[in-house]
This record gives sequence, C-alpha cells and structure tokens, in this order.
Amino acid sequence: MPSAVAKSLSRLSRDKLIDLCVSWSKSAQCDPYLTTNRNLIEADEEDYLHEPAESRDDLKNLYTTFKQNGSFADLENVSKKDIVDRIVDGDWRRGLSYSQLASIDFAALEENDTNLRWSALKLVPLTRNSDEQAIQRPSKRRKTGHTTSKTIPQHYPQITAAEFVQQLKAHISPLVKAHYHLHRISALNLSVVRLCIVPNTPFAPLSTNIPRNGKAALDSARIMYIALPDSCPYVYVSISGASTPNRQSTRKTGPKATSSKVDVTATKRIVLEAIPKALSRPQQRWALQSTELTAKSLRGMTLLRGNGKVGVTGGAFSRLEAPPQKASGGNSSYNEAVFSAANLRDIEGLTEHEKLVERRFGDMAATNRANLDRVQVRVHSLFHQPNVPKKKRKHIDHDMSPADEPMPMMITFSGTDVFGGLKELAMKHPTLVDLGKLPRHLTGEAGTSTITL
Amino acid sequence: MAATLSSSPFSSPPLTQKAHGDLEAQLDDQILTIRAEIAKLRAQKIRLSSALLGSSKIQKCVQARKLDSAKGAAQSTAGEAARSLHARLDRAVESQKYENDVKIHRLAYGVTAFPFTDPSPERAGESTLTGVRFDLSGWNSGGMKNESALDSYFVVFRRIRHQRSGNSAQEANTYLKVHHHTIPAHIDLESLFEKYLPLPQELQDDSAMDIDDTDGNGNGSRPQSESFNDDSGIDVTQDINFDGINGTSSADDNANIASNTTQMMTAKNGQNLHAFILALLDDLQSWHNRVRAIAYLRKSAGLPPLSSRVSTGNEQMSVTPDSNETFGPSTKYSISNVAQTTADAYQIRIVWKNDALGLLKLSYEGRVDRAVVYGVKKVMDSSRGAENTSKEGNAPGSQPTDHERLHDIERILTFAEPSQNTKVQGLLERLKYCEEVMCQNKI
Repeated sequence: MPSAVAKSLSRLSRDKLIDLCVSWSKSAQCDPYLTTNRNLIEADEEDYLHEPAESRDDLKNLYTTFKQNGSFADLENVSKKDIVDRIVDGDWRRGLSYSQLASIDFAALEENDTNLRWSALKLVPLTRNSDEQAIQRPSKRRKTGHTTSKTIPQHYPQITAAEFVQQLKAHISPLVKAHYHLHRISALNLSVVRLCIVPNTPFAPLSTNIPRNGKAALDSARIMYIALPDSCPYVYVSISGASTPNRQSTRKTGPKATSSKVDVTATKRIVLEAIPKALSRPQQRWALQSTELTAKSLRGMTLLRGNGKVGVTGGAFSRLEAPPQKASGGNSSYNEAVFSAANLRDIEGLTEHEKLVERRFGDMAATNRANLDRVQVRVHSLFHQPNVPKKKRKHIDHDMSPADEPMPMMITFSGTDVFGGLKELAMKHPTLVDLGKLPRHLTGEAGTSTITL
Repeated sequence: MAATLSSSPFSSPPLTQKAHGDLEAQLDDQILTIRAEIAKLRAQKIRLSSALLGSSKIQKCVQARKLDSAKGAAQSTAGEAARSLHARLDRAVESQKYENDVKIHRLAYGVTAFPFTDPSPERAGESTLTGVRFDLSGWNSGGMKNESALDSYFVVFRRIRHQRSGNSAQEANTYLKVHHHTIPAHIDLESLFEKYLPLPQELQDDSAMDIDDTDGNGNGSRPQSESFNDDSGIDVTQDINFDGINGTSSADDNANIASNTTQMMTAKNGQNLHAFILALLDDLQSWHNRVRAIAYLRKSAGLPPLSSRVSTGNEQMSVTPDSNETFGPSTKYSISNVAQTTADAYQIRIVWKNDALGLLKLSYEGRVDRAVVYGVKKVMDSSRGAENTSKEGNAPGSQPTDHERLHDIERILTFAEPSQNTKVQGLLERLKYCEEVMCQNKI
C-alpha cells in the first residue's frame, strides 16, 4: 500500500522531484540514510534494494545523473515511481522530516497554482477613530521625521515574513504547537507560511523533527497556509477542508474522534485570530476584514488583491491596461499607440454586438486576467430587482423558499473560469445574455467572488 | 498527430512509441517558432505602417492632396475606387495624427485626463466618467529592457451633484468620487482622498448617485468609433474645469502643495483635484525612482535585472531570479546580490561575497536612512549554525553568535556630509569603498 508520503510525493513531476531531492541532500535539516551514518542494527537489516550512498555529495550526484538521464530520454530511464520508491524506502527510509514534507507541499503549489483554495482578508487599522489619529500623528512626526516631509506609509504592516512567523509563534505557542515553514514565491512577490499543527501534544516539546506518523503530518486538516503578499494590506489564508478527519472518525469510535476534530477547528481559529496580532506593533494595530474573494488560483489572488496594478483584471476597465500583450515582441513606448491601433483593427471585423461584449468583458486572453473558479451571488430582493440575469453556465443552485415574499436566493457559478464562460455565452448566444441588463459585477469588474445584491 | 500516423500504417515504417513522441515534440516546436515569427512580423508590419503614416512627409502630402481636391472638386477625374481609397487613407492618416498628438501630450504633461464611457447598464445615461491617467517614465523589466516605455496608472472619477442639506440657497456642488483605479496597493490612496477630495458626510455611502450631466467640456460628443480606447489626451487644466485649481505648483514640489492648502480649503466644495493629482504623482514617482535606482545598482553591479511583476502586473508567472539567490564571479564590488525586499522598494538587501548581509532602509525620497550589516566570522563552524536553526524549518531561530555587526560598513553606507549624495544613486561609490574596507579588515 503506498504510504501517504509516497502519495504526496507522486503528485510532483519527475523533474521537480529530483530538484527537491538535490536540495534535500544539501540541507542540514534532512538527514539522509547513508552508509556513513547508519547504525549497526540498520546495517544488519540492510537489504541493498536501494543501495545507500556514501556521502551527501554522492547522493546529490546520484540525483543529478537521474535528471540528466531524463533529459536524454533514451538510456536507462528512471521513472518517477522508481524515484519515489528510492526516497521512501532508500535514502530517507528513516522518515521525512517536517520541513521535507512542507517543501513537498510547496513544490506542488509552485507546480500547480490552483492546488489550494485561498481567501483574501484585508488588514484594517484597528483604531478607526479619526480624532485619536489626529492627536497621535503630529507628535509622532515631531519625534522621527525631522528631515523628510513624508514618512513611510502606515496603511499596511511594515513587517518581514520571518518576523511575522516569530511573532505568530510567540502568540500561539501556549495553545498550539506547530511546525512552521516559510517559503518565498518570488514570481508573485509573496511569502507563504505553512503551519502543520502537531497532533495531540500541545504541551510536549518536539522531540524530533521527523514526525512519527507521516500520515498525520500530511493530513490536510492539520495544515494551514498564510500568504503574505509584499507591501499591501492583504493576507491570504488557506484553511483546507477536513477530509481526513472524517475517515479517521469512521475508524475511531465515538466522542474521541469528534473531539479531536473540534480541536483542530478551534486551533485554526486561534491561529487566525493571532494573525493580526502578530502583524501589529505598538501604535499600529491591525484587524482582519473579509474582502469577499475566495479563489483557487494564487496568481489570481495576487492580481485581484495584490501589490501590483489592481482593477485591470477584467470587465470594462481592463482595457485601461495598455498596451495589450498580444504582440509581446514590441517593447518600446513607441509601440503603444500602434498597438491600440492594432487592437482597433482586430475589432473592426466584429459585429456591433460582439464589440459590445468585448467592451463589457475586456480581453479574456490577457495574461493579467484572474480566473475565478466559483462565484456566488446572493440576491436579497429578487422581486424588486427583476433585472438579475437568470442565465447560468454550468451549475445552478436555486435556494428558493416556497413563500411569496421576496426571499434571499443564492446562485453559484462554478467552472474553471466563470467570467470567461459568461463572456463566451454572451458572445455566442446574444439572446440568452441581455447585455443591457447584465450588471457590472457579472463581468468580473469588481473582482469579488461573493456578490450580494 | 498520432492519429494521422496510425491511419497509414503500411506506408510508413513502424515507428516506436519513442519516435512518435520525438517527432511530435519536434513538430510542436516548429509550429511554435513559426507562430512566434508570424507574431513578430505582424507587430513589425504594424509598427512600420504607423511610422510611415505618422511621418511628417506623408502627413504633408496628404494635406496637400486634400487642399488640391478641395480646390478642384468639380474637375476630379478620379474614379470611385480611387476616391474611396483616398478616403480610407485620409482616415488612417488622421487617426495616426491623433494618436501622435495623444502621445505627445502624455510625454509632455505626465498627467492627462480623458472621458471614459462605462458600458455598464447601471450607469446608463450618466455613463461619462472622468479618467485621469498618470504616465511615468517606465522601467518595465528592471530598468533594462523597457527604459523608454511609459508606465501608466489610472484613476477614474464620477461626478456627483449634491446639494448640501443645510444650505437654503440654491447652491449645488459637483463632487468627484473615485469610481475605479489601478494604483498599486502600497500607495495610500485612501488618505489622499480624505485629504484632497473630501466628500460631504451624506455622500460617503453609495446611495447618492446623481451625476452632473451638464458637463460643459464637450468631450462627450467625440465620435466613439474613432478610437476604441476613447482617451483624449488632453491636458488636465484644459479638460477639467474644476473649482480650486491652482496652476502654479510643479510636480516635484511638495512645499507648494502644503502652502496651497489654505487655498484648497477655500474652494467651493472643499475638493482640490489639482493638489490630489500632484500628491499622487509624487507618490508614484518616488516609488518609481526608488525601484529604478535599485535596478541601476543591480545593473552596475553586473547582476541580471529582476523581472518585476510589480510594475506591469501582466507578465506570466515566470522564473524570476530569487532575491535570495547569489550570483557568480561576474559581479562587481564583491557583491553577490542586491535587491529590494518588498514591492514598495523601501528596503534593500545586499549580500556580499563573503556572506556578509546588509539591509538598507530607504526614505520616501530615496535617501539611505538606516543600514544594518552583519558579517560572518571566518572561524565559524558551519555545522553549528545549521543545528541552531534546524528545528523550526526556515523560521529564523536564535541569532547565531558567529555573526557580528559591521559598524564600519554601516557608517559608510549611511554617513552623509551635506554636500554628498546620500540617495541610493550615490550608493555605488560607497559600495566601492565598502569593498576596500572589507578587504583591508579581511572580514
């Protein structure tokens, strides 16, 4: 039976797996099984199915040759399964450490952007009282800024990710014991903290960095991610679903299983509550606020609630983003006007209706567009607002109560790209989508995944 | 691909699975290169044709021909086809001329305003919004490739006509309220709005929505078909006839804004768009300057440019050089990496080749405010440091005792005589000096 570790390893592509092994062989936190560091019992029990390497360098060279073989793609090709076997039963047969397990998860996240479901939270200053601020600010200026007329902005936390992890740990360690792993995704200007909540031993210190039970350490219910995009007042959290506890509860019996499940939920709430506290400093306290955005794609999150240009990810305003990226060969300002002309020419071939659709939805092929995989619309007073379109793309959930009063109704759109699908629908079936009545939040303009009318 | 091969199994020699794959990959590669080539050529064609249309010679020719035809309209012998061709040419030249004008305005003023038509049905009838476009001399990929490109940001306002409830006189003011913007999150737009474009209490929520339809600058009548991007690149002061504009202050001048505050408050509705634009431009420009200075440092130190997704926001997820990565012997000043640590470019991280690590804090103007440099003692036993931090992943553990503050270097990086250039741009000389000091002290 493949272990949980092997299963999570086999999610990765072959190249990524080898890269990971190479980095492990260098890292001090991942002790491989070598001929030079095994003890007598281990040497006795050695079956030489996967012959242990002499040293870390040998191990590194071994995996590098695997990689080269892969690129030549002809000789003795070592398959991904072989490598996974070699990791689990060979070089790391003593078990993978917490940090190794974390790096597997991050490798999977980098390979597949939509692995997790994220929700964006906004950081707002806790003291919203303007009088208080007015009193505080001048005195602060007098103290620090004697030369500069402007100070470094105060509307988002100036705190590094490493410092955040330390603060978070300080806040929750009496209640939650966890393994923390900080990872930087520099393509997105983002740091992600992965917390693996250590089961059952809130008061015992971590004796080893290799989890006794690999399955428990990989249990998605016990893992949560906190992403900190650079210099902007947002935090993304991913609190993955509790799938495994259900399975556990069938095996275990009675109240014990449920109590452990409750425990994890409560623990996660503790962590969530500690996030703004960990970001706070004296004189600068933060609170979290929902931003009505939940999406799977981390890249989409950074586009919609990130530190780059916002507001050009869809809808009518996306054409403000010039020049269009269609012909990326051009790279001078000179081309800007030209491209807009090119854009014009492209559009000339379209009918009046198609032009309007283009204008309403924006360029769906643009690289800066964020896909939303699920959009929920909550309509409170359907009878007073009859112009809500009732054309849905993939799944429709009507929660209509059988009363004749205006009742709240919930519509969920889901698919790989909801607004892209709506645009396609509008393009192909003008009768189904009445553009004259389609509200702007259904063109992806608002960038929210939860819409309340 | 596989289907076509299998449909003719007799004509072709039996291919192995691998050969299939190879062939397929090869063909895919070829198709991709051809597609890229087509796109490149197409872009070039467009560029050339627009350059041709925009050239003054052609413009003159067309003007002359127009005059001619106007003079001798009666005796024109040209056929229908030629006339329609001429008409098309006229249109093309005209639109190119318009584009050129727009570009000149953007380059010259930096801030332009344009009417924006929101096609949403919610805003039907009142859909003309006022857009303000900020063009900054750009650095789209770390200041290397797109040195000349403009980086543009937008704020789109809607006009709200509001009558103050307490006022008995028939005095209704037009207020500007932000509708949409593309300003990066690290610029504190909220406080700028609060300061320069305050709205009366009643308008804070979205309920009051009546828009001033009597906007007198006539831009709404511009034929929309002429340009899809209906920006009319017109100078702010021309376009927005707005109360409280003082045309005196320049973009670099903070003091001016401050001195104008009193005038701003005397404006009829308390909003001052001009001051708002200047303040926002100042914020954007200082951020840009910091980023460009860091890019310049990287370039001078012989490092590859950081492809900054921050600036454009529309690059694909690409493999960027990690800010923690170190580079080989080709770099200068014994530096292995210089990079900003955050998107707002208030902090610079420097890694020297001897593993010394420095963090610089920049001020709003790009001055080096503070510096912290840690050096690594050569006697350090590498395994000890590793054990210290092994428990908690990459989270910073206890401070290893083998590190020491290099106060000399810090002083060099931050020390400022009044005459000296203390900005980031002047950092290069100081880095050179740092290298000398490090060599002398054999750190």
